[in-house]
Amino acid sequence: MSRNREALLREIQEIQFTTVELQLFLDTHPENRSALADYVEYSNKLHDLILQYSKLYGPLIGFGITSEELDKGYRWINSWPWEDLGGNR
Amino acid sequence: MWLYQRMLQYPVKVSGPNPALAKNIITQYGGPDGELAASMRYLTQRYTMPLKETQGLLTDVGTEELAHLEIVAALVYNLVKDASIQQIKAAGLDPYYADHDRALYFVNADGNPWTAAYIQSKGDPITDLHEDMAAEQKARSTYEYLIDLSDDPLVTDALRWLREREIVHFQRFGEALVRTQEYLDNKKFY
Ligand SMILES: [Fe+2]
Repeated sequence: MSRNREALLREIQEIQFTTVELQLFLDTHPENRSALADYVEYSNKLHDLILQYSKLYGPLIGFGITSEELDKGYRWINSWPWEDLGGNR
Repeated sequence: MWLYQRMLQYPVKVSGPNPALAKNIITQYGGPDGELAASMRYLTQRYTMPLKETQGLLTDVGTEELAHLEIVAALVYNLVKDASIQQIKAAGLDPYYADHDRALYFVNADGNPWTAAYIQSKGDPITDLHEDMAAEQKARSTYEYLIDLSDDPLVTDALRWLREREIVHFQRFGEALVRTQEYLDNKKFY
């Protein structure tokens, strides 16, 4: 995986971690307006990054949520997240 | 329905083949306090929760546990995929190899297959939320024992991250229990 691709993925992982945290928090604090405002802000940021990543490297979410690019072929199956984690020493 | 996002929730790495460590970590894949049990427990308990927000919490934590299941699978897979037969024998993973080669299967560290008897779905929301809180503590303890056993600093980093999540889940389930208890108490009086 290229350095740019990995960096963009890290950014997505970090921002999505925040949205997961906020969503769980809102499940038990639904009246908390500032957590809701943060959730909206981070969700918007996350959408932009996921779209950016999917255009460059293929869809990040399946079933039509992020699309393929016609000229680039079917890229969903290109690589899987459990590959290349450094098993072979 | 569920959507698959083609990335790990947290970036994990392993230093090299280590079937002995994989043999222990697999318990968080298919063991009594592992991620499969966690996910299935929450996702099946959610239907009978009286509060919408608790249904939401069980849906969201149950979904996050699926992401953790994938992380544990990625660790085990990468720890055994390049291990030699000699290494597998030395690690005592040969009985597992006899049944599954290097494939992922839902067992605990001793090789016992996953069973729905690991989880409960009682219908009483107070009972179920107490089970969920206990389950998070049991998962935390297991990650701590695995951290004790780990001789790969990269794997230890992943285990520490997973351990932290159990603490957050425990906190949220505790809050859900208070809200549910208040709701049930109010229902009694009015
Ligand atoms: Fe958990």
